[in-house]
Amino acid sequence: MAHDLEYPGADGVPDWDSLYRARGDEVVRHRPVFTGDVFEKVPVQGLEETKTKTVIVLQHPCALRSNGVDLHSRLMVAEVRDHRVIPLESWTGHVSKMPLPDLIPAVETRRRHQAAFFDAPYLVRPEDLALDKRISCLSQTGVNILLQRWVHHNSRVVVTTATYHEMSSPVYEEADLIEEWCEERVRVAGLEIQEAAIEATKWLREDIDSGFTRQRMLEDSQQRSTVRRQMRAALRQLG
Amino acid sequence: MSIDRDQDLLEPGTASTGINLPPPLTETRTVATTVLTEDIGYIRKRARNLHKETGELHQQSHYTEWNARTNQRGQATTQDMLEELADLGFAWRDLAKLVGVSVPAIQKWRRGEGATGENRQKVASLLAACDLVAEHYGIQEITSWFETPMQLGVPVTPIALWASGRPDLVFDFASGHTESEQILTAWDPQWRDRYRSDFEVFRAGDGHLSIRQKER
Repeated sequence: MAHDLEYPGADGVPDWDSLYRARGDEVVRHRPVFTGDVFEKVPVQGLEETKTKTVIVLQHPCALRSNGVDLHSRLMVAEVRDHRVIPLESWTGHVSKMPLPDLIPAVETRRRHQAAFFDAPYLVRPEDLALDKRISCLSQTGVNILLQRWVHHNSRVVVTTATYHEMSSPVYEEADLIEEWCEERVRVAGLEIQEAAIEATKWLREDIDSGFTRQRMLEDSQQRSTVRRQMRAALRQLG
Repeated sequence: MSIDRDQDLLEPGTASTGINLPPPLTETRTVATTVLTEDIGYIRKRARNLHKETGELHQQSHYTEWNARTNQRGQATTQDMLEELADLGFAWRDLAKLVGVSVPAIQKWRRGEGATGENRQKVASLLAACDLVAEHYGIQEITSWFETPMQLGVPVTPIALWASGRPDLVFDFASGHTESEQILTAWDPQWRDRYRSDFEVFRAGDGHLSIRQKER
């Protein structure tokens, strides 16, 4: 079986919802900025003067941060605009886009369905990605499909989403854990999100055995549940 | 039946001709092995049928027990059941996948917002399945078992089976009576092709996981 660009769903049946982890009101501020996040009203730097656009974060999770917490000083994004729904059979085409059907499910107008345009890339400053302007976070399926299409757009190489899944699972898991840690610490201890994120990252990177860290444990699917249990215990202890 | 055949084999040549010479040894051996082959084939067929019948019976008993355990578990609140699942080490996104709802829905229930009766039942049935699998098949790290790929290089886990509505395959896999390849084929006959890749994940020089082409 030759592999081609994949779609969300199975056996010819679309599952647009599977692209998203959260949309609209579901998006929480505690989640760290991640590949595939969509922000609106972002000042972007391109060839022309600075404009304000809706954008999607393109960079791989490992290329987003310099020290695990702070975002790099410039991040690559792509413009997101209204676009009709691209039917499943056409997901192998439209190679310069990441379709985002049902991105805004609360509206029935043409705004409901959008797409990210890889041929409209921009740079943004991290401080311009305001968390209250984030309107969507992709699911892991969504991130894998985005990476597959973005890499194909740039290199004409198709890598299966299963391979991206294997590579990006640990960092996606890490984002999940930081989100949970931040939510708990902000709610219970009144920390700022950034303070809680630093605390969570420190805990994940703590040397627990001859240089071995919980962050490294997340690379092994058999050990992830252990890290989650340890994290819940650590949060209870912190009170 | 094999007993009759055995009787024939024990008394070769006594029935009719009165000829005292035994049949040539090679002929006797040929007859014996022919009968033996038939007998073994017959036994295999019976074993196959028995295997199928007991497999179905085992599946039924799994379902009956699972239902009873679900009713028992369903007496707790959705919030308490989710807490228990989280304490087992399940990720919220996996719980969402297993129950068939969004992550924000799970997070709302976790904060105490009500779930529909159907969804509450789904959460209870998951806990019940964890109890059943752990108790019968001695799986200590139940969450780890659920999220570990069933076969090296194939990213299909019991979570994927469960999420696609195949608890029967999850129980079968846990029981160890069926090879993982057979279970994967029952789940998706195309799995070998679907998950074949020319690329592999490796640790790059900067310490992060990366992708490269496999060696041919």
